[in-house]
Order: sequence, then structure tokens, then C-alpha cells
Amino acid sequence: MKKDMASNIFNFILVMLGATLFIAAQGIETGAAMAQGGDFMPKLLSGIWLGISILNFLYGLKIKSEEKVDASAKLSGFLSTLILLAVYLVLLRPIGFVLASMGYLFIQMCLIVPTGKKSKRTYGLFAALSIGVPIAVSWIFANVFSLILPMGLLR
Amino acid sequence: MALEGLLSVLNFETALWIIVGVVIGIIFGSIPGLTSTMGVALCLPLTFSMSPLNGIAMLIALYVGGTSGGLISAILLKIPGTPSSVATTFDGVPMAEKGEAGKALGVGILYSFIGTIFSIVALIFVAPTIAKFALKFGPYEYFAVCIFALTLIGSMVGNNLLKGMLSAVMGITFSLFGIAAIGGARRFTFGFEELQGGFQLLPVMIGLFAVAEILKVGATGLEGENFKTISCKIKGFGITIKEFKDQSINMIRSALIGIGIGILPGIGGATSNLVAYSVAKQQSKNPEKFGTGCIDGIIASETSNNSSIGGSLIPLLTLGIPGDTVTAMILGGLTLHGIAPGPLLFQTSGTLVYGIFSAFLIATIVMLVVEYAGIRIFVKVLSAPKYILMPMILLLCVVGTYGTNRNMFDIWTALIFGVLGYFLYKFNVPQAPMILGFVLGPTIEQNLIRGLMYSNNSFFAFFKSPIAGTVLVFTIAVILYTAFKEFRKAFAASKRMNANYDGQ
Repeated sequence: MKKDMASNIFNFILVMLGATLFIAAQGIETGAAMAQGGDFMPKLLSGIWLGISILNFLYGLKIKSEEKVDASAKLSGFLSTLILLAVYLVLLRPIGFVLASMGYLFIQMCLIVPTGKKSKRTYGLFAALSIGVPIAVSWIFANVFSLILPMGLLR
Repeated sequence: MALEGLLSVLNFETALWIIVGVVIGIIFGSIPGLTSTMGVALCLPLTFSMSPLNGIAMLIALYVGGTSGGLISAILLKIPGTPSSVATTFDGVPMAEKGEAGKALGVGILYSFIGTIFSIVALIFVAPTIAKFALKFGPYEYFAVCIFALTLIGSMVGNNLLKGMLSAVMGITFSLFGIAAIGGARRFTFGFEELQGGFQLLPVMIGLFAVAEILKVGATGLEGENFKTISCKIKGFGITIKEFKDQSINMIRSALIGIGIGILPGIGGATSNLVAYSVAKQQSKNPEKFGTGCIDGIIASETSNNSSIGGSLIPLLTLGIPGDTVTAMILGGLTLHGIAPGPLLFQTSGTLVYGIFSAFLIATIVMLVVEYAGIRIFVKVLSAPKYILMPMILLLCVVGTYGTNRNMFDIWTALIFGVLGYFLYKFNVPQAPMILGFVLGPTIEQNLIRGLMYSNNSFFAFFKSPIAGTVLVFTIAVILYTAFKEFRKAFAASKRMNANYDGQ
């Protein structure tokens, strides 16, 4: 996808977000207030958002982008990291911080390690760090700062 | 009394707790996701068994270390360790990329020290006077000051004013999510119970910087990345006498901004670093150098955020009003030890107050020594390959985000804002205005509504207050000047484009 096209789609999404918030703001009640209520700022700000985002969208359509493009960005790489993060967060409570973090760390390191650095030794290091770091972090926070992270299956 | 206070902290035990506090503070400040607020909260129970002076000395040392520690990851990782170091990334990162990480760190550490010293002087000598002046601030004045701070985004928007304004408006709008502080209306909750509390600053910041960074790494990969250790050549603090002299106005101005903003409850270091950076850029003879790796930006950011520490302690000690979350917890610590801050504190517990001032001073010196001695270690640790470091940082961000409120929703907030931050970066929308809008949004709203309540819905009443009126008129002048400058820039650009077109 060309930069201008992607940029226009992003600008359009901002317009849609602004419109959604503007519509949602119209349903906000004033609340118990003597002057302007809790609805005033959301209505005002979402209206300004919508207005500026429309101007930004129209400006983007008119002007050819001269901004620098990060051509190396790949949607598949972005999505795989995003999905991994989402799965990590979903599993954090049910299986616990230590186990979920072990899985996350190992897979994330494997996903972003450059091809030239891939070797059995590197994967061994990843495995050791993935096991050791979450245990150490969990232990320090539990025993030094009395902060219990989600225990999950290890309860 | 002052001498007794100083002598009370000059013993092994107090010195040890100050060192421990500074070191823990620096660790919490330098790791994205763990903030000085969290450090103070987690260490507060440790102070229960200590003497009042030792306990408060340790908490203040944590605050000093935590605020200053944020500059380490801001420079070496592009991720500010605390909200107070956001502006440090703007010039710290380009300097690190040019091989001047050591110089950037040295300058940041030195000016963190100087900023704190300025605020200690203010705290000791003019605290009651300043606190009395700050008490005159009502909703009109708060609203005016915050609106003025927002107009400073003009210098943060880069080449596109529309995108910068949109970013600020988005920040304020996101800060309005949840139940209204005045009136109790539900806003933008979309049926989700978790959204009733709105978005918190820490997860938003973690999302926009740390999560967005790992998504960036995921998208672009690390092929061709240079895995050499970051250069750490540094002589002294990395600044020459001439540079120091040239920066004196920037330094004093940023310290005053930090103290002034620190005194006002609810604003603090998260705002002062961005405001001081913007003012430094606006006042500079070479504003185009900002963002390319000049020390001016680091000096403005680090001097102001550290001088906000003393600023926020002024209303705490003189009036018993905490300026931010950290001072609110220090207030808790004081209360637990049977100390009631307020105007009488200086008379009833003078030795303790001067003991706290002395502990603050010693903590600042310890911070300077520990950070300077640790530069090489920080550089070495944070020079680990990105494919190892970034997942680890994210892990700690999860701990910090979860640990602050023990709330899973905060972690999801960080992910959502991470995706937003990635696309903002990809399409060159500046993030700083969004952070500033998010921080100032609730203060602007609450004071606007309160002011309108006082004045029976008349906005003109805001101009009747001498302080608010002056600030608002000045704000309008800044807006008009920025608009005029942008118009001239746009006109010149279109003329240039037409000339190029005719040339072809």
C-alpha cells in the first residue's frame, strides 16, 4: 500500500473515531451540576476532535505527503507481536505471571531476533532467560515489596 | 534549629537509608513501567518501624532518585522511565544515536542535581511566601495556567500544526473517559464497568512509548541493527565551562518553571518537563536544533522535572496539601509517624523540618554520585541486544502497570495505547501534545466547571481575576502569534512549491 493511501486511511479512522465519540458524547447526561455539567467538556472536545480530524483528512487528500516513510515496516511482524501480546495478557490471570511470561519472553525473542543471530546457543540463552527472569522478578516483588503478581496455576 | 536539623541526619543509619532510598528510586525510575510513585508506595511499609526522620528521609530519597532515574531509559532506550522524563527523549535519543550517550547522561544527571538544589533553596528560604501566593489560586487561575501550558504545544507539533492540535485534543478527550469528578456523569464508558475509572496516566504512557516501541520492533524487525555497545565516552559531566555559561538562562528559567508548576497541586513534573522544553525551544536562537540532539533540550527537561520535587514539597510541608501522588504518599508517611504538616510544623517540629531539608540535600548529592558512577553500568546493561532487552522491558512494564493498582484493565489500556502510539509514530503524529493534554485535561475541566459555577456560567468572570485575566490575555497573544507564524510558514512553503512547479 502506498504511503499516501495508508496515511489517508489512518486520517479517515481518526475522523470515524471523532464521530463515534461525538455521537456518544450527545448521550452523556449533565449530572448533578449547577452550571455546566460533566457532559460539557466531552461534547466540546469530541466536536473539536471531529472538526480538526476532518480538516486533517481533507488536507491529507490535497497535499502529497513529503514525510519520511518507514518502508521496512511489515504488517505481518506488527500483527504477530500484537497477537502475542494480547494472548500474553489473556493468559496472565488464568495461568499466572510466571508461566505466561516464560512463554511470552521466549516467543517474543524468537520473533524479533535477526536471522544472522539465530543459533542453538542463542535459543539456549533465550530459554534460560525466559525461565529465570520471570521467576526472579516474581520472587523480588513478592518478597521484597510484598507485591503478589497473578499466581494462576502455581497458586 | 537548622544546625540541629543538619546534625540529626549526619549519622550512619540515616545516611544508609538515604542511600538505599536513592538507589531503589533510581532503579524504579530508570525501568519503564516502574515509577517513583510505585517505589514510594511499595517502600512506605518499610518505614513503619523506622524513626520519623529516617522514614521520611528514605521516602524523599526515593522521590529524588526516582524522578532523576527516568532520564537513563529516556536517553538509552527511547522510553521515558517516568512521565517526568518524556521531554528528555526528544534530544537525548538523537544524542545517543550520534554516539553521545555518555554526554547526554552526564548533562542530564548534572542538571537533575542543579534543578533539585534550586528547589531545595526555594523550599528552605521562600516556602511560606510561595505557599501563601499559591493559596490565592482558585479555579479561574488554575484554568488559565493550564490553558497557557497547553498553548505551548505550538513548539512540539513539528511540521504539521493540525496533527499536533489533534494529538492534544485526543489527549484531553481520553482524560475525560469515566465518571466525571464534578456531577458524577458517566462519559464514554460504552457499557464497560472498567472504563468508569477512566484511563490512568502510567498505562497510557507505557502504551504510547514502551508497547509502541516493541510493536515497532516487531514490524520493522532488527535486521541490519547495529549491536555494538553504545559509546560512553565522557569527560567530567560532558559539558564545557562555556556551554555551562551559555545554558545559565535556560537552566534558571527551567528551574523556576519546575518550582512554579511543582507548587500547583495536580500538575507537577509530568507537565513541567514538557513546558520547560517548549519554552526553551521558543526562546532559543536556534530552535531548529531542538530534537536533533542538542543539550539545551535535556537541560530544560531535567532541570525542571527535578526542581518540581522541591516545588511539590512546599505546599506539603507548609500547608499540608500534597502536590502529586508521591507527595500524597509522603503525607501518609508523615501522618503515620504522628507529624501533621501545616503552618505550625515549622514551630512545633522545627528540628525535624530542617532534618528533612538536610536529608533532601544529602539525597541529591547521593543521587549525583550514584548516577555518575553508574553511567557505564547503565550504558552496559541497556546496550544488551534489543531482541533480548525489549521483551524484558515489556515484562517489567506489565509488572509496573499491574502493580500500581493491581488491575488488569490498566495492562489492556497500555496495549490499546501501544497500538495507537505505533500508528501515531507511523503517520508522524507527535505524541508529546497528547501526553500534555492527557495530564492537564482533568485539571482544566474541573477548574473550568468550578469557575463557571462561581460565576453563574459567565466565562468573562475568568478575566476579572487579575492573575487569570493576565495569563489568559497572554495565552491569546501566544495563540495569535503561533497562528501567524504557521500561516507565514505555510505561505512560504506554497510559494516554494509553486516556484519548483514553474521551474519544471
